[in-house]
Amino acid sequence: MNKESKNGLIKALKIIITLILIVLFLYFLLYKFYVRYPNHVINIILAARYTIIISIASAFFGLLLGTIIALNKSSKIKLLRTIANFYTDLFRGTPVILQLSIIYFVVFGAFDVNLLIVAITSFSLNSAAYISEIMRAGIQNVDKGQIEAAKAMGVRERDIATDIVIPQAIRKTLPPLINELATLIKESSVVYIIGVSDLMYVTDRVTAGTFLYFEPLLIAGICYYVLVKITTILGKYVEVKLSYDKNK
Amino acid sequence: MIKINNLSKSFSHSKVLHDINLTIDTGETISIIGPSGSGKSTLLRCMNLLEIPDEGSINIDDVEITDPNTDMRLIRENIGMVFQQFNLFENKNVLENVIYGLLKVKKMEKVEAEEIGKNLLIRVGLGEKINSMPQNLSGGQKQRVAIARALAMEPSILLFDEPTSALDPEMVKEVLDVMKDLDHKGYTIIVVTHEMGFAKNVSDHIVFMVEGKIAEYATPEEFFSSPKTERAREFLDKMLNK
Ligand SMILES: Nc1ncnc2c1ncn2[C@@H]1O[C@H](COP(=O)(O)OP(=O)(O)OP(=O)(O)O)[C@@H](O)[C@H]1O
Ligand SMILES: [Mg+2]
Repeated sequence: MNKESKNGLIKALKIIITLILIVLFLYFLLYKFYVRYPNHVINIILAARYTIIISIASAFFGLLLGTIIALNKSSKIKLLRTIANFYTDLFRGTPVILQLSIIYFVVFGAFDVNLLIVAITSFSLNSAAYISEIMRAGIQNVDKGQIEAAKAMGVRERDIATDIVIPQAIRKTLPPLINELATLIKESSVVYIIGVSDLMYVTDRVTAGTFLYFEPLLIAGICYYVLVKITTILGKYVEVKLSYDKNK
Repeated sequence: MIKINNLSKSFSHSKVLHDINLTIDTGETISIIGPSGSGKSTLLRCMNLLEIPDEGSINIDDVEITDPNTDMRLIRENIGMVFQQFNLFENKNVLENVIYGLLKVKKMEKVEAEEIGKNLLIRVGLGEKINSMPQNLSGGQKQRVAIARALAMEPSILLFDEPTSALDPEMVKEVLDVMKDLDHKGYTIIVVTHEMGFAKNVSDHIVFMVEGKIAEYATPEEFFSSPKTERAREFLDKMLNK
């Protein structure tokens, strides 16, 4: 066995042992609770699916809308720039919980829509504001020389944006974008106020029903932590994949 | 033929080009030389409308490109440009860089474009590098890719803005060799350069600029053996004795 694979093995073993210890520790802490309320534990964990759906869908739509807003921020037309900047200001300058309430009670108030859609709409609009700022910085950092080279060949502005500027901006903005997804996972917990049965909502129900706080909150905390951790690990992986230094 | 008439250009309050008149015949190779800040790049960039002149006109083969109604993209298609900083697309590999214009501007089929791209890369000595990313190339290799990218569009005019100034000395030759190879191939070539050897041996005419004006326009023989102006003599002294 060579040195490198040996080191790799030791590293893997360390991680596995640490994981086993953590699991054992938590098992010890949560064992009694689980024996008494196995369904509650399962329900809390399953509720994470709403958290996941809301965060991923909002990040996706937020990225689309945020990119469009970012492009408008450098538009030649002043009105578009003003609107784009005002949008960002508005959504960054007010609390998420207020935005969610307005969208639920006022915008969708008269309609009988799925609560998930309300939550996703609200968080997409919110994250678009943050993502537009991230993308704007990314777009500004793309080397002007490359844009000029494309212009000099007669490439259309729109093609320059989609083929040169946006792909490079996305790569440069990947770390802050992953960070935004992690933020969404955590912040989406406020959807419990409109009654979406996400992680926080179900946890709240369990604490109310059992009068136990520590165990349900600990389980919810672990779920959030694991979700955020998976996000950052995926982010690292994609970042390495996208790096141009590797030959394709 | 490129005909430049009474061309002027200012940036904010400083006038960078003063009333430039210049005629360049089809198939000629021209070297623009002169001290830093004399407006060489600006003049070159006016020719493909990367800078829009304030006054005067530029005609290319009877088309007035400075007419606000002309389609800039059509004009640029016919003019290749090579930059000092290479400006390769960092998110595309070497072959993708070369064929990008063929796909997006000329709307060519990918297979056909790749065939052309590969042949051009072989011609500039980079047949082995078609799948490399620009980040993994040396400066000289990058500049040769940039030249192949410009040639792919089959332009009739080629503009070079100090193509070797960002290169390590040992890589200058490989790029100049590729450029020399383009001489007498029908292209009209305009090079802003500090390479006096290239200007002397390859170009048909020298344009010597000082403070936004053409101070001298001459054949290389005339210019290098008996410059007419004091400024040109000083400039040549500095360039040749460094
Ligand atoms: N986009 C711009 N905005 C403002 N001033 C500019 C701009 N581009 C060039 N200038 C100014 O115009 C003058 C001429 O610049 P230009 O780049 O054409 O000179 P050059 O002869 O190419 O010099 P160098 O040999 O250093 O490249 C310089 O004083 C420069 O600072
Ligand atoms: Mg210059």
